[in-house]
Amino acid sequence: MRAAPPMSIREIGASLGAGDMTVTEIVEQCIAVADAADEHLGTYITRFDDAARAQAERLDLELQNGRSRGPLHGIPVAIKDLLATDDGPTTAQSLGWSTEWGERGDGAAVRRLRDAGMIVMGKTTTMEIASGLPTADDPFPLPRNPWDPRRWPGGSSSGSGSAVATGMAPAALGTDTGGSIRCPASLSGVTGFKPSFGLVPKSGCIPVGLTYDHVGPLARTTEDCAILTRTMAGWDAEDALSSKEDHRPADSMLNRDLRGVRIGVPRHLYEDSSGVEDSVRRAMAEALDVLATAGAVVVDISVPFWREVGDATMLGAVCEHYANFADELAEAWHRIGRSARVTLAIGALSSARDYAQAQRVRAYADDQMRSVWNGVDIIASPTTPRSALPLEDMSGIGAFPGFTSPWNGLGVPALSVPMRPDAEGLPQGLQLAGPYGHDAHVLSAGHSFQQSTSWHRAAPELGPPVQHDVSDRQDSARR
Amino acid sequence: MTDKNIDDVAERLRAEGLPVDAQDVAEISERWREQLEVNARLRSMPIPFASYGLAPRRHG
Repeated sequence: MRAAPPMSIREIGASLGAGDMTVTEIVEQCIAVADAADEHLGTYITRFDDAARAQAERLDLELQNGRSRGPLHGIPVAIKDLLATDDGPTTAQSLGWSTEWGERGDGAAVRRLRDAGMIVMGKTTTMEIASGLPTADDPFPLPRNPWDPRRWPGGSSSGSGSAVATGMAPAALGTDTGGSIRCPASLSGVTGFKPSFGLVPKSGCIPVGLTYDHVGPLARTTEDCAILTRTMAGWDAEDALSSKEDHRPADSMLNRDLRGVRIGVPRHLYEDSSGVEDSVRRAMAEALDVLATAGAVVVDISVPFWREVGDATMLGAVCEHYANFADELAEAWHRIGRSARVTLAIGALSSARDYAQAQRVRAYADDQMRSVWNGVDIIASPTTPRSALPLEDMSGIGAFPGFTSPWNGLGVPALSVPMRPDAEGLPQGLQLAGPYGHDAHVLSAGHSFQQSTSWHRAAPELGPPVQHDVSDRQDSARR
Repeated sequence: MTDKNIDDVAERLRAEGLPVDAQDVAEISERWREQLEVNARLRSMPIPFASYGLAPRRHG
């Protein structure tokens, strides 16, 4: 079975507006794909088929009565199971997480999407508490890559990536502390956007690293990500770190011409690195040619303290994660998978001095980056150093946040768009980042790239279930 | 890591109330050894405290 035609939100909206499709038909199409593929791809933890059908009927009725809520009217959306919703429980894919979290209902981002007419289809798989390695040893679905189910779909917004790639939903929400939206976007062949820090409120989101966490969209196109971001953005009284600056990307800014836009390329980060696959380098060279042909001025740059700010981000985030979760962790230790508790224990062992130094490195790097941003509008890099890892051997996972995590520490907008896949047809991502608050410029660069390429249109062939046991790969046994 | 270092890791985790078992301690100790190298690199950066004592303002 091939996945549903990869229609974008914009295209679905046009079909609804023209009366070519109903909301009910769109929802049924998503449910049909989920029926065919969810079980063996491990996309959803919880599905809300009945509630989605009921909401689709209501939204069809509104359209029949001449009322459209806008571009998201009747569009299905899948929600990472780290975000609370009105519809059901929030598990964080962990037996150790209190179910009380889900009882708080929609946070601001989900509520704003729902008010705009979106239909919540279900809660998607993640890494345990956004930290643990995928395992078949717990009662949650094991997320698999839709392009090759023997492989990892990326994380931690794993199911959100595969939901969009397969057509189980044309849009999904993820969270991103070190790359958790952009990594699955890259490995699953979809578009993913981490907005500027604080632009989209985090209320209702289980905290990982509070000063590093971002909520953002995964979708077929950059244009869709812009629509979703614009709808979710804005200050929220329930999120003390949400921004009061209104720099949401206006629709009119998306089509900004790339001519004269300066794109900086830190080749030193990937051309000489043994950890970066040749296929990624080749795809990057082609992607830069596309941007240059569209009129961008591509220049080589050096990014100061890149490795350091990435290391500081991962350290600061795990300290904050542990601090947020210490009481629950002690109480639920043996119900939490070993890889998640090993990661969180690093936060328990780290000192106040280490945490403070991580913050200083972050602030220093932010300051040093000003001169870089004075010379370029956008910085382009690979999103991930290679395509999807085999689930049987996840030993290379530590390298995956290398290109993404620094942008979490600095809080700047960063987008992943599909570029040419590797020789096996596995997706690879191009990352575009910009200065803080310049979300529209980043999105317009991605939109321009997708006007000249079609990799974001590709859909995976959905094959039969994979009989594949990864439980021996790691001991994450519960006691 | 020496056996004493590993014992120290186990003791500190248990002092935090974390009921670690032997395999936890072994895996955490290995990860912590790698993290200590990272932390040492970060500590060696000569950053003036007065100028950079906090995270970027927008991060709270």
